[in-house]
Amino acid sequence: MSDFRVLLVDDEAELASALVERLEYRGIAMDYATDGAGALKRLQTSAYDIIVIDLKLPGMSGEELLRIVNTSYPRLPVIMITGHGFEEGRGYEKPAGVYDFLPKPLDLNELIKKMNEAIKANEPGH
Amino acid sequence: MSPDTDTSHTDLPLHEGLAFTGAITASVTHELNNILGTIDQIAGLLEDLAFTAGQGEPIRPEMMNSYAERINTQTTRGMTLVRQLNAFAHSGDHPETEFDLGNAVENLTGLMRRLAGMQRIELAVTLPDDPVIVRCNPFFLRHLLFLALRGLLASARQKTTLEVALVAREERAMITLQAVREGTPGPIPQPGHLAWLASRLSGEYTEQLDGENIVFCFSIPVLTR
Repeated sequence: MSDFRVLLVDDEAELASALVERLEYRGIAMDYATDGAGALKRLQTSAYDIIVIDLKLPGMSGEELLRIVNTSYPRLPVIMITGHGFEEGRGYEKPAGVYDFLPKPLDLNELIKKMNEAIKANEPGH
Repeated sequence: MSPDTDTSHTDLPLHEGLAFTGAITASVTHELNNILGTIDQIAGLLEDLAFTAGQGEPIRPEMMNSYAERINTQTTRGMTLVRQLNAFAHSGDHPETEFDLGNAVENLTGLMRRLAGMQRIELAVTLPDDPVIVRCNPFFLRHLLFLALRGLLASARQKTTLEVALVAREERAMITLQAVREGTPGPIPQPGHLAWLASRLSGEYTEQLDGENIVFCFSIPVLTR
């Protein structure tokens, strides 16, 4: 059982919903939003220990949301996820302010492990 | 000089054709990856349910049914995408052939729904009841529509609908793309490519501003109706 609270941001509502159910089954408190605007609203009204952001979001991109989160919530650890491929010869450089970057489909155990690591690394005195 | 021996523009459309194919394939495979990822997570929910049952909890048939329905929904969505991508792949089989223009418009717009959705724009497609048969290169036709749609999407206001309509009138068919514009858009990019494709298709296109809308029209001779 974990006692942290996660905000998941993914425009694939059905995928997000299934992921939320599985993580809640493991005792993790979850909320999700399907776009950047929805995520920012949730951040204004609830406190989270970590945010998981899909790189490709409709409207405001995942990278734009990341920039806002880094500026407005600098203590909130971020994990980015994506099913997106990249241009030939260009990988994805992990931006500043991202703890880790995970490919989709997500390995649930890997996600939980990375979330735990990111939260621990963010604790005062660490 | 015939179109096939005219090499003055050959390199440009070849590269652009590959880029077009890549853009469509990248978008569709991204969506298929999301579908498979969703099915993977629902399979995980079934595993969790089985684990709970193994601990002595009663099996909940309503949950099983719910998960099965969710998998079916994703499977149907994936099969539609695969069918659309397969039809698109076969559009390059013949440099010239007879085909239903309505099917081609439906195919290309179906493949571009995700790209439009990322811009928060809905695609609404209106097609005639009867087939509209044309004779030309089906791949070039899709490429022309792709360039026009991509240009309109770049100029369109978010949270609006881009309307696509096909109308057949006597000897010509007209495809109209209409979007609500954001600010004052420039012309649709790559007019040289559009003109090249239109000439290869024996068609004509116009692009104009109409109040708040930006309208792209492409007309092409109809073989039979």
